[in-house]
Amino acid sequence: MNSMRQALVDTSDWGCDMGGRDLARRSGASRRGFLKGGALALVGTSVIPSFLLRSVMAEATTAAANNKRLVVLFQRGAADGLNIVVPYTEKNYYALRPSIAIKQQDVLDLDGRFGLHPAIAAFKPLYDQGHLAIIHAAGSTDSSRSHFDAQDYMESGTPGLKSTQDGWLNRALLNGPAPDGPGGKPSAFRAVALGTQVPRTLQGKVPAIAVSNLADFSVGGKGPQTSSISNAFQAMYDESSDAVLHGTGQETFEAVKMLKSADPAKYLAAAGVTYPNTPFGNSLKQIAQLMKANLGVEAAFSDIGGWDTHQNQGAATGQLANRLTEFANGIAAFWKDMGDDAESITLVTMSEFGRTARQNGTGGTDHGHANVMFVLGGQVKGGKVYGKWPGLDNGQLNEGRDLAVTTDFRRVLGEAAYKTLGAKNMEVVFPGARVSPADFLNFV
Amino acid sequence: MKSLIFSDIRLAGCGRAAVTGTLVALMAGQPLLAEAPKPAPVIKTQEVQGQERVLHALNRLTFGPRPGDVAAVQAIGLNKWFEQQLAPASIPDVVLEEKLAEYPAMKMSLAELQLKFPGPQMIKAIIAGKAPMPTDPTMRAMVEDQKEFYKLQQKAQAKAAPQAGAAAADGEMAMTGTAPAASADGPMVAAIRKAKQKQAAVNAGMAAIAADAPMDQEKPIPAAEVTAEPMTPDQGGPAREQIQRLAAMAPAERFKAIMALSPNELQRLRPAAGPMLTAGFTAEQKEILVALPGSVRMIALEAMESRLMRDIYSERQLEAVMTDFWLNHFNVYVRKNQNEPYLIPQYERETIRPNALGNFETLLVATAKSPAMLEYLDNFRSVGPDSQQATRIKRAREFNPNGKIPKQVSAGLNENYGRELMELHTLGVNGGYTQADVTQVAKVFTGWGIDRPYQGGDFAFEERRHEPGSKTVLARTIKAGGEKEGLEVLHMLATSPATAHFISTKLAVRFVSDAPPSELVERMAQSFLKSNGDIKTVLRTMYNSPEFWATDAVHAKVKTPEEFVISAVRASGAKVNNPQALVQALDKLGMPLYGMQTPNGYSWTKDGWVSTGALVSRMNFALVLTADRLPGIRVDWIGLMGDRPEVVPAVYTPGAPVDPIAVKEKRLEMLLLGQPVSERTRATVIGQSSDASVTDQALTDFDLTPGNGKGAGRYMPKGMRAGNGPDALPTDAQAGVMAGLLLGSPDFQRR
Repeated sequence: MNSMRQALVDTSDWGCDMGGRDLARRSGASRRGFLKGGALALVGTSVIPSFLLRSVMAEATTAAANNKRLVVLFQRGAADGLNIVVPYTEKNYYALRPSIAIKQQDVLDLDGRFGLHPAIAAFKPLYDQGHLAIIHAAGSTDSSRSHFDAQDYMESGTPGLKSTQDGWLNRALLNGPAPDGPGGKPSAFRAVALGTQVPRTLQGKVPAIAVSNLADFSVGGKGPQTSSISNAFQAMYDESSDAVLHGTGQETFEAVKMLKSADPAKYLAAAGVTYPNTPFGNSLKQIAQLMKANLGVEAAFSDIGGWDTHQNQGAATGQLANRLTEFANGIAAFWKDMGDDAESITLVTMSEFGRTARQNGTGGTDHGHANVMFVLGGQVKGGKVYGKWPGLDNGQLNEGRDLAVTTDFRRVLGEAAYKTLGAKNMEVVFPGARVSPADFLNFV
Repeated sequence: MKSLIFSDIRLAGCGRAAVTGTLVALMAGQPLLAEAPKPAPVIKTQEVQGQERVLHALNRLTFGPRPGDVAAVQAIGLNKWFEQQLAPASIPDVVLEEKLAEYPAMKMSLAELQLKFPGPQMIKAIIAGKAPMPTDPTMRAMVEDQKEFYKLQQKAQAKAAPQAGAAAADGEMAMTGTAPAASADGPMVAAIRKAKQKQAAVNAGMAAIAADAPMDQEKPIPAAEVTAEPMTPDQGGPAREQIQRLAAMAPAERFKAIMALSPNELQRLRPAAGPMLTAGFTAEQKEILVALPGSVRMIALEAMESRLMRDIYSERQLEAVMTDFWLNHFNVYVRKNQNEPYLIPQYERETIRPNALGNFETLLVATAKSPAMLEYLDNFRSVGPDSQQATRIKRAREFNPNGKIPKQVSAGLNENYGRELMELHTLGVNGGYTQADVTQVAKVFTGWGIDRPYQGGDFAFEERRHEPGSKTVLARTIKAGGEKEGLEVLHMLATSPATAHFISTKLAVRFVSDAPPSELVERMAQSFLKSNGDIKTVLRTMYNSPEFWATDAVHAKVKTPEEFVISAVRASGAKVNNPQALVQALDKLGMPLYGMQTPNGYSWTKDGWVSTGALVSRMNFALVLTADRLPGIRVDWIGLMGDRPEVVPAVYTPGAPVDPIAVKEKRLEMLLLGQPVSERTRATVIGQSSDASVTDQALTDFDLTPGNGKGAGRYMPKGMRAGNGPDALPTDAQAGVMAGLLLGSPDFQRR
């Protein structure tokens, strides 16, 4: 089989085969039979389904070593943290936001100082049960107010440094305990993003895959077996000299096979669990399915947009409230759906920056600085608002306009990666950040 | 030494001409003869030549070659063809004009569009009794119908919670794999199919619609609403009988009869309606019918469909490509709010396209004044903190602290446009501006607004909202001058070297490679500055640069989903009667038209698009397209290849001197890619050619029916325009499978 594999390697570059003039030489009498056998052998439908073994092993080894999984959720567009976990005892909060502040009587009090926006009531029980920790005034050391730069910096984990090629979560996986499935290969679902693209956060040396809809994730047929056309495509991509497409192709077909075998769609949401019928809700539902199907997920990523509330963001109700309801209900549904497995999960939320402490002229807020992060998990020491509160007096604001950052977001992500994924070398995960375990807030 | 030469030739690409070029260079280049392991000597950039040069140009400057395009360009001469493309007005576009005649609303002015297809604001006003019910029977029907739908949605909203709970069932529906409308489906089959999908549609479409009250201008449109065809649960025998009665009428009489139906009757009919209901209708009549349950949806869908039609059919390909480029650069989002769809046809038609090959500053000013951009980046609401309006509001509050200022009245600055103007439209994020500049620019543009927003008004400068006094932008004083201040800032930005560099880089990334050579970018930037931002001149500089033709630039670009879908349709010579399936496909591939929410637009580099899920969808799209299974889109392999139906499929007889399958495959390669594919791709295509049944399987995977998750499943076939119909041609399924494999192959993912 090995020699056959090599014989099939296409050494031509983008069809540099002299216009096919040597077709006759290449297509001997046995061509078709040879190819059929070759394709079959390559696809390995007749041999032990190693992917099956692998996924079982992956579950038994890598994940089991930590028995922990990290879910990262990105609120793209800069969520207004000050209206999400409300500093309702700050007098200036109400002065800065005359028409969009959340009134004291509307907030769900957490600790006599902060209160949840009423639209995220679903978080309250999680907080009360001690599963949900809140880190306020967290953010980046970079002062950029560009969505795209700030997201990029947060995802690469290197604020101010544009040349970083990979994402922090990919480095964290790389730095964690090496997976030792058969052939040293981890599960194709070790790092998975829900969506059509692999986000910056998950790009890097560890193969990561993007899936937007598990039910569709199949080429040429939905049956339990891969279709012959799928095998044909696989042969093309396996042997392609195109490095980019070749790599992605391999990951694709590996994942297709694993999904066919594990059929995560059969894992319906637990009784009484309702995910919001939105792309975000569906993403969380599918992360739960992948995890329940024991596909070896160690890191999962999803995002939710629509936080860029420059105008008419509303207060206790309105635009932001609608987004928050979807956000919190989705996460709470995921938590409930995972049941006992939730013990092994840590979920972190982030957003590129916060919004101005003052409301702007159009009933919204402009780009600001510090924000709030949520950490939810079985091992989390929740029920507490972590971090140092910088205050909201005019003199305490960053550049006279935003909540100041007192906790580098990498201290939060670093702790989650360290304690959940076992990524012990923080200098690799967040180069130059000088985050050490001594800096952790100890919410896990 | 040998290996060095060999690898050089490989790098040089595929063509004989290129290889010859390398050999000549080798002979001339003395140092190469030395055995030293030092780096290869500088050889002047190798350029593709001959037919490959034409193919490369078509791959880069158009949405992909159609069968016969390479020969046609060769006949004209490549350079002459390029100059023609730079002057689009000189190129007749007859086929496209015919196609676009199906979309009369897309030619209407903003005001006319709002008048003929009243939007939510008008419906709301009529419901509230603030506007009269129109007397024209057609208009009346439209208003009545939209009113009815509004009520339905409110009812559904009350039930929204239990429906959201049906999310799991929704997923199961998708798994049962209802096939999309097959080309041979008659209306009856379609009706049955639709009936089956009823529940899914209710879940996916109606619940989503119900979730946001569509009458609220400020709320973004739920994704589903833009294109989902609302369904009603009630249908069956009586509806079909009524349809048959209607179908028997003459078109004019039938149209009147349909307009006279009550909204409830019409809604009962709709799910079972087929193309026969609209047979003989004018394009205007069809549009009205589609708009009955919601004008917003019709307009958004037509904006996307007509854009696709243009990209596929326009002979002015460079103009289409550049329009696409600028629409992405000056991104707007169709779901920003209920009004944005009304603004997009004008934006494409008047703001972007006429300037796509024109002057950058003119284009920039046009976008700054376009209602689409003014709404998208909120500037139309921005108010100078010391402007007359803000002062009046302040005084009103002082005078009567408890008095309510209407929510719609803004009283301050919004920085959104000011920031993105510099970061994304001109200077680039490292263009040397500060937060203070952002605030100052925002003040400059206060007052740039819309005359009667939501009612078809165009740009207007409103002095009362404008911040008085001089401003300082990028260390330069902008003297108080009302609207002129903005024009001065736009001029400053448009002529800045940072902008020239930023735009040139982006163009080079689009047209040359993901990491374009800095010499090329610099040359283009200089050309930009010298020509005062003449886009044609910059493109000409690029076209005349060796880097554009470098052999290592050939196929260096991975197609975006949009480029993939359009190039596949063009390559396969498909006839597109209704591009809705392509609109859906782009959604599924993660690149919906006018669907990028954030102002940075879609990525032009491969990182954004090469991922596992996306590859799966590309392969499945290739299969359904080539199998002639996309509703409204017809491929004809027999016609295209000139084969007689009786010799289809090709069969190989052992011992025969010529393998007809290999010959057929070869023809398809040249037809679809214009050049040979890799040997592996070819071997696989030939190996699979005997198994035509496999295509059927693909259908269940690229399901464009409702209820299929968050992607294309939300859409419904419109059923109002002619689809493929039952008049199916004889097909060559074997060619379909082979073509599907070729279009899904790694080779076709690049351009």
